[in-house]
Amino acid sequence: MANGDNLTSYQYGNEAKIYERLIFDNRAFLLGIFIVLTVIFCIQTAKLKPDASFEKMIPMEHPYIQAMMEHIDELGASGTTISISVENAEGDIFDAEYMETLQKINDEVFYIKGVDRRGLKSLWTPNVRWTEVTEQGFDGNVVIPQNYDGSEESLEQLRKNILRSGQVGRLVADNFKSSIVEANLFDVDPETGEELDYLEFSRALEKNIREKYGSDKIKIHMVGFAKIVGDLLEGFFFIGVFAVITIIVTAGLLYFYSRGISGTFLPLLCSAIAVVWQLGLLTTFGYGLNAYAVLVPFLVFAIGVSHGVQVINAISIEMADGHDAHMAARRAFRILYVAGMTALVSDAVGFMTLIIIPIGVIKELAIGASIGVAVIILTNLVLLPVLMSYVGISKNALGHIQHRKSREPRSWTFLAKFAEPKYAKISVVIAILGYGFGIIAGQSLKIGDLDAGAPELRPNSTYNLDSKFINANYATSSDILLVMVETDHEACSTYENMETVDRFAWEMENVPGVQSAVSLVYVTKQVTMGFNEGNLKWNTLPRNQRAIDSTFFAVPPQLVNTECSLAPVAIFLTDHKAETLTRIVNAVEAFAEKNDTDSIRFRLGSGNSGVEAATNQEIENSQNRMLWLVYGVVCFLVYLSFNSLSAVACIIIPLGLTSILCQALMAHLGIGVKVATLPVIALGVGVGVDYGIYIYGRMEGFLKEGHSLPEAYLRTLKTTGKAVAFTGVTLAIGVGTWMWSPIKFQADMGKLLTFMFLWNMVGALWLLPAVAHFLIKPEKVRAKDEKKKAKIGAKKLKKAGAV
Amino acid sequence: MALNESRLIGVVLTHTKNLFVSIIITYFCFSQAQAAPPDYSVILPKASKSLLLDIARAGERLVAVGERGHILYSDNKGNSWQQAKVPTLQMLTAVTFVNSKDGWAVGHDGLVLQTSDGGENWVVQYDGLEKQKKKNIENTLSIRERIDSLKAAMNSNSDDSVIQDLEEQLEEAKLDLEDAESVMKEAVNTPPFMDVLFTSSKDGWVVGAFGQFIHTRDGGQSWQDYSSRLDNLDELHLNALAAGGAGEIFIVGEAAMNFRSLDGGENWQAGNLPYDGSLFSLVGDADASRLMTFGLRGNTFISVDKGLNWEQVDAATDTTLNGAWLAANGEIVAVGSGGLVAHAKGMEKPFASFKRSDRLGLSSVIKIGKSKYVAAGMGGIHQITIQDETNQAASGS
Repeated sequence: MANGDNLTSYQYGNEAKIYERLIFDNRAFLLGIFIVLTVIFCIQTAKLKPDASFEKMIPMEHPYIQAMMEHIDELGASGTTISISVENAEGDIFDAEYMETLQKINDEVFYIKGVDRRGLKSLWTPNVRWTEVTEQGFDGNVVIPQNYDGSEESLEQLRKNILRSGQVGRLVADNFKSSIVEANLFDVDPETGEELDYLEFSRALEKNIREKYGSDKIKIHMVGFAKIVGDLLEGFFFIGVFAVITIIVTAGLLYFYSRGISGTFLPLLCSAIAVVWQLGLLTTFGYGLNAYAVLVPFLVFAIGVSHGVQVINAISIEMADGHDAHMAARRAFRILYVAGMTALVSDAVGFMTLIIIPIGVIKELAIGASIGVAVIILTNLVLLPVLMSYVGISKNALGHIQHRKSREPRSWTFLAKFAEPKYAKISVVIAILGYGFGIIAGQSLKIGDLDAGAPELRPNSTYNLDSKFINANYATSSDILLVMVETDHEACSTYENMETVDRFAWEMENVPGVQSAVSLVYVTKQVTMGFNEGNLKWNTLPRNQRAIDSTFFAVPPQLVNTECSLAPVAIFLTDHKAETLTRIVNAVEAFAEKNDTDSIRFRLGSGNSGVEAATNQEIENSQNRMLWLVYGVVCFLVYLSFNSLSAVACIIIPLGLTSILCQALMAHLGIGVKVATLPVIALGVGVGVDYGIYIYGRMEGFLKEGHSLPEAYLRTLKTTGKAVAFTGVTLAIGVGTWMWSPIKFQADMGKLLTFMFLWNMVGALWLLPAVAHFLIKPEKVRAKDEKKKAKIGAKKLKKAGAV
Repeated sequence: MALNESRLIGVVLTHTKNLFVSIIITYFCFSQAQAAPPDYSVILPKASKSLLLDIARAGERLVAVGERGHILYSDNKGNSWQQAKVPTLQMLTAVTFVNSKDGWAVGHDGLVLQTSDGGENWVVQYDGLEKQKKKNIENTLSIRERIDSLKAAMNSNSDDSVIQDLEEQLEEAKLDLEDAESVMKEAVNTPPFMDVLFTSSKDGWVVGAFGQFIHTRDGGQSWQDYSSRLDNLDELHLNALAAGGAGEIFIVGEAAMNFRSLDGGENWQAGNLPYDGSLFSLVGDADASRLMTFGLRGNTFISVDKGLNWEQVDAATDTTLNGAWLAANGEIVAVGSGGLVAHAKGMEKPFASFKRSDRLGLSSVIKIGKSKYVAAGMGGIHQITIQDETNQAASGS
């Protein structure tokens, strides 16, 4: 081997020279290409748009979602309503001032862009009426008295009208301290054809309603899908803040590490270029940036910096050894490119495994992260050494390195002890206990979202507090499962079908976790009772077809389609815990199994709970598949690199411990496995394997040189230990800022990834040598190496002989 | 019943040449096949929270009936309820017991159910839907026979004027057949029963929508149609029944219809009631010396001459009252829409009223202890304490 004089443990030195020459002999040309591409991708990145597409957040291939999509047009406006509850904190709604404010808010909402004005509903709109049965038939009017003037008498009349309007619990709170202004929204404006701009809409609500009318007396509470999306998009703007913080902290760390301007600035620049390329490529491929994929640039930046540090580290050492900047950069490239490529390729492949999860945002995350990591190979393994070959490392920094080299930090000698028999045994016992603890504690890990309200947002966010208020004061639930009942055309109203639907709704109401279930039969029964003087003994489904048909004028479009071939049953749930959803979904499927015929079918499932149930099922199915796949792929790559099962074990056992402890942590923090957290383990493993590869690679090199295991490990730590520790910290900072995101799932991702990145580092530094003590026999490593060398030598001889 | 059916099939078979008759056979067989296994009311945990419409006492036991064939019984004053085995999924509207064991319930589809074990197991005693089906078939067959005999008469007659007359009759019969046929094509339906009353374990009365009124003298084994005995040509709904101890029976219903019989139901007479809205419930003393009926928008009337003349009473509400209970001590409680409870110390004492906070409509009420009542309605069973609620209502206003 020709590379005996450098630090690499990789035996591919000869081939490296081809790439090395290609790159370093054409430095100027290469720089030109990089500049042009960077400009192009900068322009592309400027076109990048936030993407809040609902379809990408749900498993589109799941049968529930497919059924939903089949009927999405007929299911109508059920998802896009906004409810604004106006509360009188100093009294009740029978207050002239309150009613006046409510009227103003009503008018204000009327003019907000995106509101379907015909569907606006509040105490002040003419579509909210009271009716009463009289001897002559029906009597009714709007709830606001005709001669309303805010006087005591007219407020008393209002109270009477509200009581007989049946709106208590719907538009008026049970305690009469608040009432709701409810509006349907246009997803697409029928006049202009424009799609609803959720962010603009949400901001209009905040500005024109909450800021304008909210006070100590009047409290505004707003809920609805459009508001959730608006708040999510609003959360996007924190990302800029996080980016700035990340860059500043990383720069500080880099300076602390390298003590030089070039060693600080260039890795940052190259990592930033990697981010620009990644975003530019995403835009070029037609992707937007969703709330999950927005994490990827941070990850790319952090991974870029960590590899950049390895480059700077190697160049410094080479320069300290007396080489000039150009030569040092070349030598550093030669040392690092195989290890770096292996690590980055395993990152990319690890991320790619996420693509098996059939949820758009996760697929995009996988694609984005893989592209980003691939880009880092170019920016930080090629561009960075090239740039460094021009500027080199400052004197000051070199002095720092030489000073550092001359002393042996005590921490390294301490860590090196883990490769000694006594500490190795203790470490392995602790690891086994850790595995046991993690497996037991991880048992309580739940699938799905566990918090009430909108799980995307934090439990104490304004939205979720508003949602809590409305759930507490009105007879509504924010967790709705829609079961689509399909019949033949014009057959939804036959007695047989209606009877089956009604029986279904009642059986569902008896499933624990169901608050109530509403179908068109509920309306038919109510109307039949109304036609019979409100007599409860007529609150039933008539057998007479004409009598059934005569009630359909009152069935709202959410409960029946125009062809009378679809009758959704709305099941209101107490919560959206995975076990609640599973229990109810199972009950629906059991009923369908028993009652589905050629003429009637009960199909799951729409509504937010239907989507969640489908997502949970998909995640449960994918979870283990993904774990096996990511571990399988990583094992394979490690085996390819080191050609040794023992090496695989040394690297994978610490990784596995981190994964298992991460699950225990999730259980402890009450974070469920969901769209946001499912990718975490794949990302953690993909990135975490880097540490192992770097450390094991170096250590193997020293073992081959004939050192004992503790000695080889100490030498490894001296050369690469600091870089590894630094990498762990950089990565953790890159994602750690996310813990403060107003978006709950981003915060969850931040917490878990920070944990995984740090623990993977600890695992690699502490557990890897301990496992190596039991599995790696230095003599064998040497013998294998000798054999290989001999083989190559023989081949060469043969070749030479042939020539 | 079985004999009846075979006779029908026999009649049908004599007409097999006719295509339509074969349709009748198919229809008949099909309906038989459908009726074979009765659909039992489903036992589910929330049955006691479903819509319940009437509540009665079987000895110490309380029995309530309601939607989906629900019958529930309680042996601890309504604190917990067991669901009975009931061979129907239809809404039951009323229930009555003559002792702790024997009881009857009525409901939609013209159903009369009977129990002999205090309400735990029930059998169908009268099936209005089946009756209606047979009636439709018999009707069609008899028109068919009429047409055949008319045709035969035409063939055997040569007098032109007679033939012309027969032809006219035939045309008419054919139109009737068309009507009957179209009725046969539609799903059978029959109006609901609204109330049931047994004055002994043999003598019982059932009233219902569209003037239905049937009577049994053998504990429900056979029923006679008594509707023609009432002066109710418009077939208005009959909603409630009450009885005195000496053969007095009273009925109230839609459009303030009210009837009384003083001879055990043989002869009937309308009373004078100054109202034209609907009446939904009726209670009376053991000797029927005082009767009270409740109806639409709180309209309440009292009669002190066994239902001949009625006088309006102020029940302190303008909310519809659906059900009432007259306690042994004369205390009277009526319940209605929106959770309304109206009550008085006696029929001739002033009424007070309040609305329960859940505002769920109530249909029936029964006293279970001092100031303690159990009501049935929307949301199932509700406990009511009159004293406390009055105080609350008083302090609230």
